[in-house]
Amino acid sequence: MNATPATPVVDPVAGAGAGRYPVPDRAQVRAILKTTMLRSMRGRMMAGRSGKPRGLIFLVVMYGVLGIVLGMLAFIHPDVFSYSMIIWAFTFLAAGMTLVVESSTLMFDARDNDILGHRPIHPRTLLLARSLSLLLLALILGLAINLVPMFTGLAVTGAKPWFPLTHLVTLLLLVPFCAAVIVFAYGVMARFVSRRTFDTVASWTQVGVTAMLVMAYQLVPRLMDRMQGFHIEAANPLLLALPPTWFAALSQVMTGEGASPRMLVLATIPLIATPVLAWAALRYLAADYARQVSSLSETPAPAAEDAPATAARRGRGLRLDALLRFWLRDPIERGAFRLASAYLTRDRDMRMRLYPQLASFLVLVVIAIIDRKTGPRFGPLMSLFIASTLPASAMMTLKMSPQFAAADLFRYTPLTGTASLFHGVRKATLVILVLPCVLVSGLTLWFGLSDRSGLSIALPALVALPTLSLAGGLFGGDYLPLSLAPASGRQGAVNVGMMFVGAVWLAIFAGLAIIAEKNHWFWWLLGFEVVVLALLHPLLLHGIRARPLNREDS
Amino acid sequence: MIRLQQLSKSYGAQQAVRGLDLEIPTGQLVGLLGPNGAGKSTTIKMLTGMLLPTSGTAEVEGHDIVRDPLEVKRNVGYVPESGALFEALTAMEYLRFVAALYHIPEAEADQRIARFAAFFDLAPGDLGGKPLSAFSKGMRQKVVITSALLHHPKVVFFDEPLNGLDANAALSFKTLITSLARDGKTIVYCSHILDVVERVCERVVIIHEGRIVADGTTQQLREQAGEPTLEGVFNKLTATENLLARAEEFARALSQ
Repeated sequence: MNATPATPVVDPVAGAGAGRYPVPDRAQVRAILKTTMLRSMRGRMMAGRSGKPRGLIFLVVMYGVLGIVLGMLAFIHPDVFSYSMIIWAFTFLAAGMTLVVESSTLMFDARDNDILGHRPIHPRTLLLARSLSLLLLALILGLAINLVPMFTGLAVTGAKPWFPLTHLVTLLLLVPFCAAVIVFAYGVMARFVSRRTFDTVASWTQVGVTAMLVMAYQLVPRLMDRMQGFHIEAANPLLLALPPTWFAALSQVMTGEGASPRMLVLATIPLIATPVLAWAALRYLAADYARQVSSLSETPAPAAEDAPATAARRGRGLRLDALLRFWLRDPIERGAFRLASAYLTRDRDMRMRLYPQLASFLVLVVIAIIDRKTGPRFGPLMSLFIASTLPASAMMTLKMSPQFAAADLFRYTPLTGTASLFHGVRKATLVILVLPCVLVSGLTLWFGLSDRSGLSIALPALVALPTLSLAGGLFGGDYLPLSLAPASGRQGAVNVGMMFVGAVWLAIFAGLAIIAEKNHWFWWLLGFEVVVLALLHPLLLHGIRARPLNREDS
Repeated sequence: MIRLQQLSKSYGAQQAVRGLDLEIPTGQLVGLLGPNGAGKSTTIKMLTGMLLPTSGTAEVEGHDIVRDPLEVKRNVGYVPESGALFEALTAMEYLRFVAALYHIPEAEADQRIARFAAFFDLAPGDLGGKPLSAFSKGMRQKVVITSALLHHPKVVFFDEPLNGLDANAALSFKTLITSLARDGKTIVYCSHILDVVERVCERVVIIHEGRIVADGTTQQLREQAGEPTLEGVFNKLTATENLLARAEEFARALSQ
């Protein structure tokens, strides 16, 4: 046996004195940041096939359009505080959700460790460089959202001529706050969570953060029932706890009107919280971050399991396998189903990019139940909205993986088309993601709502979900699972794009359902829809089957 | 100079490296061999400051890998088996980036890069004209090797450095590392190509299941094991059954 005592716990790199160079090392921060930006803006690793940052450009355009819509609010002439509240709540939601899903690529890329892990970079330098990359992404998105509202805000009641400038200054504080919260959250997790459970805790924390962002965004307009003459002194205390309120207070204070003591206190919070969070993350959590990044390339030891548990797990696996063989007769489809299931449930990168979307489900259902003003249709409609975006969004996400090179397998194996792969992945997303979400939200609404009359409104869209999930197999390039490199902005673009598609889908189906219900031909509509879908489904299946596989390397 | 004392690394209950004791003097070229999963890469990752040991100590050029990893990292170069690099960058951008991490002034870095490019037959058009994703595997490996040596490290760890290199480049590389060792650099060479290790390395260390099972010159190892080749020694020390018979049986089963 070895008698040497265990290595003392030492701050892994921080102890290593910076020696000849300051910490954080500005030259290294510049080099890493420049490289990260170059990687984000071009090339196969971080962009589309053409080498252009399509994902990021699309995301910026989408947010710009949403910003225009938000900016129009100014023309109903709310006061500065109310207008700012709405704008900042949306900026928090959009930038925050994008940062949450992109942070797994920007902050925890295991591949980077082989390149940077053995270079003399102090953890604080690395964390600062990565945080600044995150900050820049958030700033680009924040500016896209706020470009129009910044100027239309001049139409707001009581706005001073310097409103665009104060709005910009507030944005320049809000973005670092968002990034600092995320970096701090990761730092805390890296300190207190073991390597074995880090991935799981991190992905569920992302779900939690997303839930909070959605909740805050939904709560803001509910807690302020007036857009003009809103008084912060009389506001619901819960409103004071929401970060958009602090930044709206800052906007209000900087325009120089109505700076009450409570408003001043609220405005001070972001001024203090942002630097404190950033400083604490860099000062105390950098070493833990570095340790967690370096451990990404380790293989965590499997948890010890007793024999009965292993046998029970094996038995469950065999039963599920038999069921799968019965349901999916095509072995390629079955293989694709297993591949997608494994990635959906086990892969760190996939969970971090996909699971946050699930949070919206829960939040909207909860809001529908607790907020009686929303009416019986709000919950079903919103759940439906999220459900409608899930299959396409999950399938797009399942096209991306850091192990994208392994997808060449599909090109050198004797496949004639991508239909079986597409259906295997599609069915996995429907069974593993969509079905549980629909069941959970449906049951929660069923038991939570006193008036269940609105629930039927969701039926036409739900019935159509499996058929419409086929659309992805007909458009775009080959559907090859895990074949694209995760790109900066690509996941965010997918999510926002799906929100638009979902909104259109919701408008059509929900609109038709509401009209049909009012005119007492709802069930006729549903019957007609089933017939149309029964005809459309095989046609779409045929179209997907007929598509040949393009073997050229993308 | 590298010194390991009872160096160990565990992942939960699984022990990847078990109490390694080893001393490699300055200027020695050592081959580190072992079957897959023997603990070679884990050992190298600990010695390059990428992983923390569970117990034991190690020093590289007099710097403790736990207490002073930044100084260790300043003194080592590492060619990882994965050959990872930032593929969206051109070779020139990537190498300048690496140089910046070591605070090498840009003009000096450009000179060094040009010297390596000339040695590896990388044309200026290759260096700055296209992203690394468009490079062949061999060209990428040349860039990875350059990035490991650019800062003139005193100790260099090579993990399968010949991956993708053509015969001429491999020959040049083998000559280069023997010259580097002659010039006083300590070199640890990890490979599964045993005849290269046999020809290039003056000392061979074989690791099996996280422990050192052999350490000496190739001649000493051959004599101790009573085998005519290093391959025979390796097989005798690390294989659990007769590999030839097993392979023949498997091939027969495949063709049935």
